[in-house]
Amino acid sequence: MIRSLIRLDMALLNRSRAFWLLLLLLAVSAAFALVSGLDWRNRYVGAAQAARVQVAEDRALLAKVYDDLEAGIRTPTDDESYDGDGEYIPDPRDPYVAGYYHTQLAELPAGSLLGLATGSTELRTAYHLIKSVPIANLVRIGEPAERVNPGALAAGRFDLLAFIIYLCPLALVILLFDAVARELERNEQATLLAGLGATQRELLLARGITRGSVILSIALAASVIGLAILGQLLSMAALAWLLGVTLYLLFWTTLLLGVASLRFGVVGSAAISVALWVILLLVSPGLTERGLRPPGLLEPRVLADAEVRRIVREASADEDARQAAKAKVARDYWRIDFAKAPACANREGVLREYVLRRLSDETYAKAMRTGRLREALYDQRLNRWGWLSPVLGFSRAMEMFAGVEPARQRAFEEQVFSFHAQWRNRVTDALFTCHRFTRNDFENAPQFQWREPKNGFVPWLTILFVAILALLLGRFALRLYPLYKK
Amino acid sequence: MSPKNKLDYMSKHSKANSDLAASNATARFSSYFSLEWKLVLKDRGAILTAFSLAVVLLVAFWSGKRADQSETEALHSAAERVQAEWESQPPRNPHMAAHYGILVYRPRAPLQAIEPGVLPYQGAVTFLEAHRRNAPVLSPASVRVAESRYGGTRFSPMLQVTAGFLALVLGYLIGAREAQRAMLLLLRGLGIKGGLRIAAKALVTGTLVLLAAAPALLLAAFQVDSEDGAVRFLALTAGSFIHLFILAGLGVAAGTWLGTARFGLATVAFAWGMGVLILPRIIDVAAEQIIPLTQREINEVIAADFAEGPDGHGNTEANKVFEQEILKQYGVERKEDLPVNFDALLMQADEEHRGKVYDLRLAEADARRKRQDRIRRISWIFGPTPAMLDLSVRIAGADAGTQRRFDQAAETFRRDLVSRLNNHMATNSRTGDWEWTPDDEYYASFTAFNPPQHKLTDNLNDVLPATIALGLWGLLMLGSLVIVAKRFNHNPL
Repeated sequence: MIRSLIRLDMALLNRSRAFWLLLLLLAVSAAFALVSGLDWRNRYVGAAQAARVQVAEDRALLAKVYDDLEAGIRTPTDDESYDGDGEYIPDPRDPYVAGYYHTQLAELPAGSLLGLATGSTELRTAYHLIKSVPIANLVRIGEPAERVNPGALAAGRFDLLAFIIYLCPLALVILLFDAVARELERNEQATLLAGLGATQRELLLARGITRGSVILSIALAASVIGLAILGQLLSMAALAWLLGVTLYLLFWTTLLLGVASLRFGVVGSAAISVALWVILLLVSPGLTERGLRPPGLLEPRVLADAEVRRIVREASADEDARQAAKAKVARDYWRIDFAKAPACANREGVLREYVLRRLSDETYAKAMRTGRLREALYDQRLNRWGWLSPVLGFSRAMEMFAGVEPARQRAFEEQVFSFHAQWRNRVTDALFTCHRFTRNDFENAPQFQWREPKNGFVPWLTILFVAILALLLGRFALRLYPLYKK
Repeated sequence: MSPKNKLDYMSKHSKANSDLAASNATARFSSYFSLEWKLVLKDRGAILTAFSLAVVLLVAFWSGKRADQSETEALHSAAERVQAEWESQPPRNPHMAAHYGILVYRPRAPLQAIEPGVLPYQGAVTFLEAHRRNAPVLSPASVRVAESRYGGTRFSPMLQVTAGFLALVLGYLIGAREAQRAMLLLLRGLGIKGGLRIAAKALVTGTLVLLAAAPALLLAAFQVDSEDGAVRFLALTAGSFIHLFILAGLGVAAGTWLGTARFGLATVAFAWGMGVLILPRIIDVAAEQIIPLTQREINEVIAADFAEGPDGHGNTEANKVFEQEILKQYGVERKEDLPVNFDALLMQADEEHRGKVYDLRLAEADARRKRQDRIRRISWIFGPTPAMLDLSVRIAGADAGTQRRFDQAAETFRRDLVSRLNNHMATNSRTGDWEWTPDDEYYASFTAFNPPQHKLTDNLNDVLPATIALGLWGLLMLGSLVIVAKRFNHNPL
């Protein structure tokens, strides 16, 4: 019977021009969502590519300097006597000079499904140029943004995830709000169907399957196309994405069937369906997110520079302060006793600068670590209580599957700080051992290696929660619905 | 509606109509309004919806106020501390101080608590240093989860989006009431005319939504702390009222027209969703494709231009030309014989050249951005809400123009600061003397960054396009009400 009812509903929809118009609008919107999302992926990848080219060019210039120095074609400029006249030829073998000139790129690779979802990738930088200068200088300058129109940035990008989260449920509202109520109210088909032996429960189920499947098909088709373009069709992330989309739309289908089963009539069903759409999609995610946000999220980052300046001022106030700062840094961070170190390790002017750099780095890194910890606390709260807004939980889970969530960007920042420290320590270690960077050192310098953080079970638990919710709502809808006697 | 209630309803309509048949239109309108109002008050669904909206708006206002306080205090505190550190910095060569730089923090927008606009997505801190005009960094949104940018959690966006949608849907349901209960023929039979009845429905719908918004609006009014803030708040309130009435009227017109259509309400809801949530974003992307603009491209052009002028830390042909000019001006043969510090003069020449390049190239970028914004206005065709959202951020002083003014003020401050440092060094030290430091009190003589506060009246041109669009939507709403009223009066049912 269900199969017959589905065929009947398909036939009804097939003859409805409004239905085909809706389908057309959905298909066009899905295409735009894909184009818009993939355009952003191209920009993101393109920006990092441009930075890679820039770094490669800088390194090639430095390699040329190495070659020229080795061939005796050029002589490096003496830093002590250089007055700005004539060409400055850096000596990249000198660790102090290398600190400025050796540049590395720390790049956050695009998430596997970036393009289907944008997440927070528009709001944070995708790469950093790493040198042995204070990390604050590298971070606070920022990297070129790929999206510079403030209005567009504030509005957010229309990507496939937005299409699935917002537009598909709206289409389901349209197709399902009067799934059964209209028949009851107008007695159009109910009697006929009852005469054919169909129960109202079967009718409800058939409507849900037909109309839910139509929307789900569009969402899945768009997803599969997007995944194929990204070359991720056979990945675990793709499986998670498709499963998430299916369960999310199943949740909405059963929710709206539940509304239909309440027998409010067409107007009542419409009002409740639309109100649910507004509450679940427009109101609850923002309010839940805001309610769970810990206080002082921005403060550590905002105040970091002020703290750095205080430390630098105190450490360079006079000669005594400078010596005390040098002793502290030597003891706490460098672990070097200059009394026993070779004389060449104690380059007064250079170390004076590196003492301040180290103090600045430690202070800045501590402040930023505090910021990241607060943001992690915020994430924990969202993991624990995000289910209060199923849509918020779902969108976070999908962003995690896509690799565009803020936690991934935080992990990148943490790894950048760690790599910068490693890079800076390489320079100071060379200074203390009186080592000069050879061409070989230059070529084989450590590279930034991005380590993908583990998301754990949180996104899967969220998807499972959505699935359970969908099943409960489906059961509620079917049980609640009064049975027609055959 | 039970048959008894239906009869009761009909008799009230009939009475209102016959009693006032000879009266003037105002009295008849008042009677219709009263009737519609009573019907709405009896509708538990409508009242529950309005109550829920009031609660949601109050929560949005409260949470927005809390977030605004926290961010404002953090930025204010950081600004004070950084300025104090600048003033008490140890003796340092002025050009070293210019490289050490200072950070400036974006001041609070007048109505930031209720309408943060684009500001959470824009950098709030700019590092000012010699030679470079850095872009503002650290946007408040960058440390959060990407909060729902579709609904918006602050009061004004929520008022425009959520309350606007409810005004439209409630208007539809109120407008379609008689059609869906098959009572239109009876009303026509009683000689009831459509115009005033439909106008009353629109007014009742709008009033209901406004009453729901009133508590939060009243609370927000008490938070206004300046004359300009009060003007902005009044303008925002007025604009919001008009916007909600337009949507209520359009909803009533759609309900009256499509009341019996199978997908009537669904079509209206879908059209709204497309017009407010989807199409503006599609048009945003289209605008970026038609007129491409990225910071990377801007920076590349600027870097190329820099190479053609004096470079304070480099060795260019322009440096040599500048040196010859200075030597000639002072009538000496060598830099060392100059009575001023040539290095500092070169630094300043570098700054001035770069300043001109920045002005030129950023003005070009700005022109392209404005062209993008003009394309973005196409979304205003699909509903009054996108225009109102634009108007809301501009009235609140939280638009892209505010960010640009902050950026510009920071740059003006940077140029003054660096120029003052370079000139002080030029006139008080000699060429090649990088160890020279000014008096201990010198850095304390610099005043803190304090950009001018722009008033709403200073930027009226910015709000004009969206105001006109809203006005046109108002006319369209009135026109649609007139058409459905005539249709009710004349068309066969």
